Amino acid sequence: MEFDDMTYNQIETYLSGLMNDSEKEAFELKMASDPKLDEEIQIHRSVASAIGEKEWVLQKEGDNREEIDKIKNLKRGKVYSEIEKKIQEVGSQYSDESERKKKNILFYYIGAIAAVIAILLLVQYFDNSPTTTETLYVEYCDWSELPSLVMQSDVNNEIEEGERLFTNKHYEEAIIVFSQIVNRQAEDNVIDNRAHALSYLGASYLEIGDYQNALKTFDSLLQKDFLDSSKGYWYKALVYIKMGDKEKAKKELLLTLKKETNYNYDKAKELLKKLNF
Amino acid sequence: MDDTTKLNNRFITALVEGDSVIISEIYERFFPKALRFILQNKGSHAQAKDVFQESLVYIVIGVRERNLTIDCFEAYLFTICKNMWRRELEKQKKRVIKDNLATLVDKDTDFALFMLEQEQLELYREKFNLLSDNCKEVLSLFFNDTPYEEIIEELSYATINTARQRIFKCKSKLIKMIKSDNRFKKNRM
Repeated sequence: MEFDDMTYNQIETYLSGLMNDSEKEAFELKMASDPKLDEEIQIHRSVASAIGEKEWVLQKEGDNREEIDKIKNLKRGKVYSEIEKKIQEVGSQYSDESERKKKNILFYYIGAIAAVIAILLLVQYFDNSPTTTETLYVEYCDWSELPSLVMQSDVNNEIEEGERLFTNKHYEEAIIVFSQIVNRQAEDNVIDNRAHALSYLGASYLEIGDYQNALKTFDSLLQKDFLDSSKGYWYKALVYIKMGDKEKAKKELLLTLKKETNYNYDKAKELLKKLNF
Repeated sequence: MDDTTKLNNRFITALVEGDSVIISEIYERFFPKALRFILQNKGSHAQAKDVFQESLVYIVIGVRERNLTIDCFEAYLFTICKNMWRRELEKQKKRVIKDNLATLVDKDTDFALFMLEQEQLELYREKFNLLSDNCKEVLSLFFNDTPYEEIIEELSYATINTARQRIFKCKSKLIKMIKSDNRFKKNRM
């Protein structure tokens, strides 16, 4: 071994974060003046990271210039840059292809929905029976009304990613993204985009048929003092309509009608009439 | 040659020869899992695509130039994607606290640094596997932040001090094995 027992003890204490500030400062000074000690600590850290899957340990550039250049030159050389180009090419084709497939599925769904609506309308025409909740949902649920926070100069990739996933109907993935935004903002107590993220999150839950989480999300929209928290009533009404629960939907719509400035006041009035029909 | 080796070779040969059909099969089969992992860990679709591509290049260079042997292509590819992303997150964290280690370097230097770090990690794990079962057990607990009280209970040590000594011995043995390997020196000189 290259160090005495005391130094090893110090290394352990240092790495476990058990040194007080002055001990830590003194030890780091010692490390700075002793490259061997510094290297030893780096190894201990890397071993801990490798075995315990801790945070990644970044190596210092400069210790191994020759090896770095060797790998860099290989990667930039003719053979591997051509392989890399080919991989990228196939990657882009793959992305285009999966977009196209998704679009096809989307068209298929739109076609199917249009057919269902047509049949429902026909049935209604001949039957003259009261409007069903399904048709009302299709008529009143318009997610294109959801605001977009993405601007051309926007640096917030996360929001952009979430909105893109939502628009492309990747609701499960959109849920992951928006949950992260909501949770983080809850921790940091930031309310900037929280109403926006909550709206998208609830809408995604609703689209995949997870009504309980959709209701819970819209409830949190209502509980906060957001400028447009009244959207919560409207969205909850949509959830109940999709669930086929007319009575509960009516209750939410009546709450919307309490204030003329509430979101979709006029539409709520209209929808309530149809539900009572 | 068993089936897994044949499959590994098939993918690697396709990457080297630029066989579009099989490369696109690689995307179809393995990209979704990497994408999911990166999206769940604060990444975007574009970043996932980038990491996946770099990981494929990593495997080709590793196998052809750096004596890399792979037991299972799928598992190894995912490990590389995961570690490349873990590294990226660490870099972002360092950048926030303005650590010198995270100064902006070009993409290929980053790739080379990652390769050296990943090779070190594999070396450490290889040596770790050569330790006695008892050493492996106690070090696994220790490196995964298990408190000493739990370690002595789990492995029936008499006192915390006995456990501490055992960990010290095993760790020294591991580090000694690592240091005496040529690959360790090569990547650090």
